[in-house]
Amino acid sequence: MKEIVVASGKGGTGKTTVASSLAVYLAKKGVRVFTADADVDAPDLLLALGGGRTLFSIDIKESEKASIDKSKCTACGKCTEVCPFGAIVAQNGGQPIVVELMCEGCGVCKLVCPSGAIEVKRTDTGTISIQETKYGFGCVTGKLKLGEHNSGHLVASIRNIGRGKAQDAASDVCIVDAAPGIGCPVIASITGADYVIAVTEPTPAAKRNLERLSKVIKHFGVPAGVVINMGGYSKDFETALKDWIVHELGFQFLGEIPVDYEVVKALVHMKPIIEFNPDTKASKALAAIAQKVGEIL
Amino acid sequence: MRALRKKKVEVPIVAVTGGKGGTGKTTVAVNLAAGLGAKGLKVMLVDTDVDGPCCATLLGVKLGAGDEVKTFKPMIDEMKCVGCRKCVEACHEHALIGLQGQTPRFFEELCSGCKACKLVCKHEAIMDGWKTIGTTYTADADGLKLVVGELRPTEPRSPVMARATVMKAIEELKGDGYDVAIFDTAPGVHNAVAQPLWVADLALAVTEPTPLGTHDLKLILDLARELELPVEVVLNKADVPGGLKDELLKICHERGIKLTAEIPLDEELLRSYIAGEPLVKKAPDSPAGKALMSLVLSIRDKLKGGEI
Amino acid sequence: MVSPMFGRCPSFTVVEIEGKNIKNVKVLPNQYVSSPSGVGIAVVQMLANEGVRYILAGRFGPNVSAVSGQLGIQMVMAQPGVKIKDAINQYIIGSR
Repeated sequence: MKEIVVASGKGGTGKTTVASSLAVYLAKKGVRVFTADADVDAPDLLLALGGGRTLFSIDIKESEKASIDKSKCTACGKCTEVCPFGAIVAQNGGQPIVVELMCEGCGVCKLVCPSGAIEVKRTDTGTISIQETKYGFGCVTGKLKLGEHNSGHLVASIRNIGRGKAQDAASDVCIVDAAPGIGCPVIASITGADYVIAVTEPTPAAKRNLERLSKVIKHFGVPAGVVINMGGYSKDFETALKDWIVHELGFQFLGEIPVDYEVVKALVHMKPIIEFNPDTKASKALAAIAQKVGEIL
Repeated sequence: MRALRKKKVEVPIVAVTGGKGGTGKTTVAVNLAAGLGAKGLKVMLVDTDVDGPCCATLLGVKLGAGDEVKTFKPMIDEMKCVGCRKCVEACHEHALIGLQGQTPRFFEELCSGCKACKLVCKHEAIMDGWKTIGTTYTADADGLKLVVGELRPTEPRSPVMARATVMKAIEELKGDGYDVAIFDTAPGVHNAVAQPLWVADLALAVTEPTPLGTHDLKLILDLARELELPVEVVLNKADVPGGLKDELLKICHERGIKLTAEIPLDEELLRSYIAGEPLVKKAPDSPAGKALMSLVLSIRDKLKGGEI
Repeated sequence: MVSPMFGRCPSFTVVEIEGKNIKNVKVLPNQYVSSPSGVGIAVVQMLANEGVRYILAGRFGPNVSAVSGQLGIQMVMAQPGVKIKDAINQYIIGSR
């Protein structure tokens, strides 16, 4: 079973567009597919696949938040002063309260409290569920409690569950929509992958992000290919970018997807573009990319 | 919650947010600021999307050198350190590593600057050091004051930098007679977004008629409700064929929230992005230009009427 | 069996090697499996405290590589899926 991770340096470049169309394309060719969405901050893979039927779900409780014991609090205000996030707020003349939305559980408040009134407690983070999609394959996805964010642990859990379920179903390939950006969630997205498809756009900011992502990919020594999405506006930049990808980064160039409003329509109808309108230019580009990926594996 | 969010400045603050990335928050923020400025108001535009600030790009402004934003980092005095490892245990980011009896090693990239290590050290072995987490910039753009916060690329965490940007803007807003400040937030519903929303008087939630757009809209409306922050919705890419506009209207209706503007798909937006000139100045009569201008007037009237 | 991932593997098998022989096998559960982040570092720290000098693992992250050097631990890539005993023996043979 091979794990293909679709990643990008920043959100909004089109990871899900690529991941959803790739999954459906391969499934239609008779490949046994499984999917997982590790981008828990924006869990749109399942939406792009038209939703699913929940088979199973687990609650995750890994967040840490400060909690003030009112009976011990003397309203000295020290905690309010030291909180790096402004998450402890003084009430008028009264005891301070913790705004969980902004608390990161660093515990500094607990250290400065003279009356030992503050504890750092584990709180709910969200849930991970296994869904059955319309296309006959499964999808592991997460849902966060308001204010919570993705973590290396959540990503690792989603991938582990995805891998396990994919193996149970005797899948040939598991396609993972990775967490964007840098940091633990991205590291946890890339580690152990068999192949990475990095999605980028032809803009200077996206190129910088791709460069950062490439460092993590190379650290793990995972083979990778790049897709340039939303192209067609600046030929010179795109040509230079393609060149840089192949010669400087040493990654494969998998293809370019042109700007195509049909993609937005497909999203609205909750279908991968390749399914919604197979004849539009984006779909043709994606089919060619999926074909290439199929050959690589 | 409203009472907790005490006003730090008298200037009304409008936060442009939205949850999903790529819906057009920055486009709305920039055009709102530029439009209000053109109507004679003294406006500050603050870019708190420190991971990828774009306001300057959309205004065609080149930012200068900026001011570095620094946070604490521990400097361990080896002579005083006894190797008790209390700091190692206290660090929730695992930025201090050490074996018993040895002076711990410090990993700067992981440190969040919380000072827990310094607080637990009984041997006064930790002194104040500084590390740069980002830069704030100020610029004058066509009658607007622009304040931008940018996270240093090596820093993984944005909340502290977002907070520093908000604090800098608040300082700049004191005195100088500003009529309004527009804060552009990052995408999402987490701490880095909560920081600018905490000081706002009104939030504009920018969304799009797609499944993820409606999904994230509900989250940002939940967040605004939790903060007791008045919110109105701006629908971007409003006329996407077969779009989920009806569902969005239902969500607004159910929660008693006003849909205050609808911006259609318009190629002029892309052209104004490439040209670095706000649409309300470059092509105010284009479909999107008109929609944005009506938003500008609506906010101006609210400000005049003391509603914000 | 050697895990494909280092930081969140279920357990660590710590052995002492004398000459070519494996002595004193100890299995430690990974207490950091469900930590949100910074797991690799916490684990290396914990193993360093146990006196570990070499870590055999399938793959390890960039944070782990940075930390292990500082603590005097050498990271060695091992084949995931291989039996632990075999991986250790391969290492012993390879390093002599």
